[in-house]
Amino acid sequence: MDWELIVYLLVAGFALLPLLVRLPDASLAVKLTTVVVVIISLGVAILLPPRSTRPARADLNDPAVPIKHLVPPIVLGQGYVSSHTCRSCHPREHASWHQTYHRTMTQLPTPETVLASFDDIHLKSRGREFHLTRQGDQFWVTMPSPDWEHLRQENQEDPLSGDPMTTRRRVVMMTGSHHFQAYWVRIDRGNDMSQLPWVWDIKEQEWLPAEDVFIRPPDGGRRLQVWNDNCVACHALNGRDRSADELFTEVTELGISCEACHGPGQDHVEHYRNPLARYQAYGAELKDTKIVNPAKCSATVSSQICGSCHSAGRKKYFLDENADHHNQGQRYRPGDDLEETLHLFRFGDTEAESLNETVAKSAFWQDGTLRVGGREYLAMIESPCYADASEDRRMSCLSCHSMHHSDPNDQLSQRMDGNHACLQCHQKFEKQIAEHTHHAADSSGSKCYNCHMPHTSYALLKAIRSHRVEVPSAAVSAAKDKPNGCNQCHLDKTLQWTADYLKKWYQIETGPLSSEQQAESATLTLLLRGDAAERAISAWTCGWPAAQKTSQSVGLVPALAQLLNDPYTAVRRLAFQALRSMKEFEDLQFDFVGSEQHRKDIQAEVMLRWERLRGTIPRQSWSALLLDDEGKLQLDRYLELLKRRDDQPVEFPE
Amino acid sequence: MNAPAAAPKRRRSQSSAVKLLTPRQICRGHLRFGWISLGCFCLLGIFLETLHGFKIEWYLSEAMTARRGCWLAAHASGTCFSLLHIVFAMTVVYLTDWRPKSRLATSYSLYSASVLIPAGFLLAGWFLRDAKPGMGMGLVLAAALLLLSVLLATATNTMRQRAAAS
Repeated sequence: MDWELIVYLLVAGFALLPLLVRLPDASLAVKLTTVVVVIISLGVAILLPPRSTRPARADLNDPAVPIKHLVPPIVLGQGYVSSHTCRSCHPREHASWHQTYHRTMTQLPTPETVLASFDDIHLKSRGREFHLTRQGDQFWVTMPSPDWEHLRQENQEDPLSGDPMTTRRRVVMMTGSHHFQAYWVRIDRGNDMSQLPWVWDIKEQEWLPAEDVFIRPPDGGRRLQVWNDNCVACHALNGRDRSADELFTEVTELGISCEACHGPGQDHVEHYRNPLARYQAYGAELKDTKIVNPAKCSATVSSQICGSCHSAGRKKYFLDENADHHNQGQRYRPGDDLEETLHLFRFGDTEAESLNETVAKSAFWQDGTLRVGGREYLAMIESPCYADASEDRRMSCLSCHSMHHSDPNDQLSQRMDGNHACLQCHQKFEKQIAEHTHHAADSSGSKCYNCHMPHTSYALLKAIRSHRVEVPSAAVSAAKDKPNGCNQCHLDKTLQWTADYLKKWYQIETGPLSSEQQAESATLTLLLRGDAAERAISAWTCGWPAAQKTSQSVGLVPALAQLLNDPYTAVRRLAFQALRSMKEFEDLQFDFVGSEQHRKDIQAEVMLRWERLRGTIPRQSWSALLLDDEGKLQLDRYLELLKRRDDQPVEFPE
Repeated sequence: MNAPAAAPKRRRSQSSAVKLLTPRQICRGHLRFGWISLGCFCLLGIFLETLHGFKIEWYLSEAMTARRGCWLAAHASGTCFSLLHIVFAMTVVYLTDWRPKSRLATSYSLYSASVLIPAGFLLAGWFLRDAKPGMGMGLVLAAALLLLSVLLATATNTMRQRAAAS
């Protein structure tokens, strides 16, 4: 029974009846007007389509199916009320959160939210072809059947082998809006969504094969991702299966919204719905026990709230057969002790290594420092500022970051993009920063984080600052091949040079170094003989403006040219980006997933250009940059280092 | 043969004479309707403020933006119609040259529009369709025509009255 139609007709009848009764006596104009009014009223009732209802099984290829029927439905419950409710009382906080990339982590496709080009785009990767089109406000992909590929994977077969049927699927969801945007299409299993194996590089405005953007062993095949299996936990609010025995995901909200950090808000909302309770709360110093405010929690608790997503681990209830974990979704709630429900994968964790040894080992430097971005909680808790500090003086994520009134780029609070972040606690250096750093006060060498939080983490085709705050150590670099802040700026300097200055300025002993470490550029050697992560991070460093300003990055061009043909596609891309950041190579064209011949051709072109540039490299750097007395490349030494390249497989859980 | 044919005409004429209201009767009806409905829409305003006060989600949440807009429009249009009834009541007693049938039809049209427009907005806000106003907007559209006819008829007769007076 359509109550809307019934009430509509009753109201229309009630209002028009007196007029209709009088109609025989009325003038022609009144009669005409009344007839038109009746026609419009009935016309709307007849012509307006009935209210849409979610079909039991949506046709994945039907453009008429509303997108909300293809994606996990929004369902409130379990104490969650969604950010819409928060807005009515907290409009400023809602507005500042609204401009963050956390909110736009998961979105439905609209012409405004889709950042990629779908204008008749043909893409080809690994022998598979994709045709991207736009149909009005909808985005469609003609592609190898994702159902077929998932079935192959479930049967332990290579999804890239065989000949799948071609199908046309509508893009139903996107993840990411900051660096990359990934696109998801429905597969015919519950309401599962599979990732289109292409991502849109927002800065470069180009499509990249998803498999080639991430650091993973070169022989890795198709990486099929299901949003409902993994991403839902952190990229949506309160994602869970509708019931224990049904593959049908429901969420409270797409994206990372208020209650992801503040916890379920129903109790808080119900309490403060009463105006008297609100007025009592104004000015009262009492802690609100109905909701969690990370800013008022201890450093440990507030950091754990961020760490519930910005870490890596196994949910402790995951292997518990009796746990209805799918149906209940995440068990951790803000304010809880994170480690009650999550077994964190720290350095050397045997369980992590038993699950995936390559990933577990790739994620850390050998000194135990995390080297993968997005999991910063695991790095931060190893910092002396956190681990060695008392609770009241402990550093937390919120010491520098905030989800409100901050720069959406890194969520840094106001003034936290400079030395003020560290000077909050280390005030004694405020007046003597140049004395402490031995660099000009306004130079990049006097930025606390350039030395104490160097770019030794990696994710999404860029190096990221390590969140393990530490003192630069040439000894660790020597023993573990971990880059340090000094050599990340001074690209043409050796580890011995760093060790000497650390001893001279800070009395830090390094111990004996090898002849290579004494004589050759630390960055150059990592570019040539490091593992994939070391090569990637070092390549990024060569394009870092602060480093280019400080040192002769032109001297590293031959090594970057070598990386253009690296087995890891991501390393090739980073080497190309570093080269293109130099004005001598800014017009360079390179397809990092192109043929080997193409890569070799570009290598040759780069070396040809470098031959004309090498005269600009200062003579005192020649030896460290493996140039002979005439400024020519010491090819033998280059090849020797290349031969020692660490080809242990590296896979980053980015 | 003629008598039965003439009888209905007389009855109809008698019927019309009975039901045609005088300007003062029409005035009284519109004054009554105007003041009562002003009270009702004042109450609706208080009700909407109460929804704000108690932070009622199905009125304040982002998904209910259309509901808030519709109900606000119902409140505003209802209040305006109440005032229009009072103005119409003051006008109708002055317009003595207005043909009785036309005057009564205009009066009823105003009553109909006064019910249809606020009720249409209320209905559209109550039965949302994908967070957009519902079917009730059809009533608003239809009633807008009625309102237009009322305004035209009143304006025309106001001019005619002035001409007669001069």
